[in-house]
Amino acid sequence: MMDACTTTKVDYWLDIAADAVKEFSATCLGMEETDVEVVGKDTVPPRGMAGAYLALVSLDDAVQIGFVSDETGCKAISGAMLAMEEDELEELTQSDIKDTMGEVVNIVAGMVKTKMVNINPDLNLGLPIFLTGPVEPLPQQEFGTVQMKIGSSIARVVIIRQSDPDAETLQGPST
Amino acid sequence: MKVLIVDDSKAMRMIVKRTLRQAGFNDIDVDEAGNGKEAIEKINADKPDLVLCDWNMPEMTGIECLEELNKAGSDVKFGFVTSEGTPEMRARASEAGALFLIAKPFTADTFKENLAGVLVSS
Repeated sequence: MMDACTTTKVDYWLDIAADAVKEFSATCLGMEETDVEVVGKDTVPPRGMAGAYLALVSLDDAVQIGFVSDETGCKAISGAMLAMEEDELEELTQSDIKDTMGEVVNIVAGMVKTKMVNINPDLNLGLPIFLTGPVEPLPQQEFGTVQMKIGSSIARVVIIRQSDPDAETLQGPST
Repeated sequence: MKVLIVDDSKAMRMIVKRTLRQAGFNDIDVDEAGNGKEAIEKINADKPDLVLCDWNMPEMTGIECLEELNKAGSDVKFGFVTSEGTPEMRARASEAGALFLIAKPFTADTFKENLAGVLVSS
């Protein structure tokens, strides 16, 4: 269990979130295992992408999880979640896309919370927001993204984590 | 049978409706609410047979909604369909009187298993 002196690195959160996205894609987007893969990791805020963010907060940790893609990707992922055919995607309104991407990050964050329960059982979920444009961390925040191929779309999972410079940093539990 | 779907996401309400059909629950009238406060108004007005409710919503959360219904002495059948599936949340849901907690992402089979004793499938 987490205490005031332990933290988990952004990388660990990214790995957990990527696993959640894979499971989500299989269940909600009808993707095969081979359709979804991690293609890279970096610490650069994604540009030209929009998507939804949601906070996971406890006394020991504060994280924003983001799920973002370009315009085509947001449309494709939203359409897949709503079981739409490709020729129906143009019917999606911006409101539909924002709502659906918000629900995607809600589900992914909920799965992350469940996966983290043995490390930090006190995490609370916020409500999703949709943001267009780059999201940049503040100096006291850690930042990382994992790039994922989801079908024909490229999406990024973003983790922004409040650093605790006085805390001992762990690799995260060994599995 | 009347089912009330409560979720602040219009997309998710649509997905729940679709999953009910996929699970074979076709002879039902479905209504929707966007948060717990709206749900209570509809429950009082329309007396649904089952409420499928998200947990985390603006204005009034799902657990607050259930607690309000309990205070009012309502016996409406209530279950959660939520992204929050930790053991603690399940225990909290059960203690408040929820019949089940279906964690997102869900499948039609999950709906069949959890709703079998509550709704009749065709």
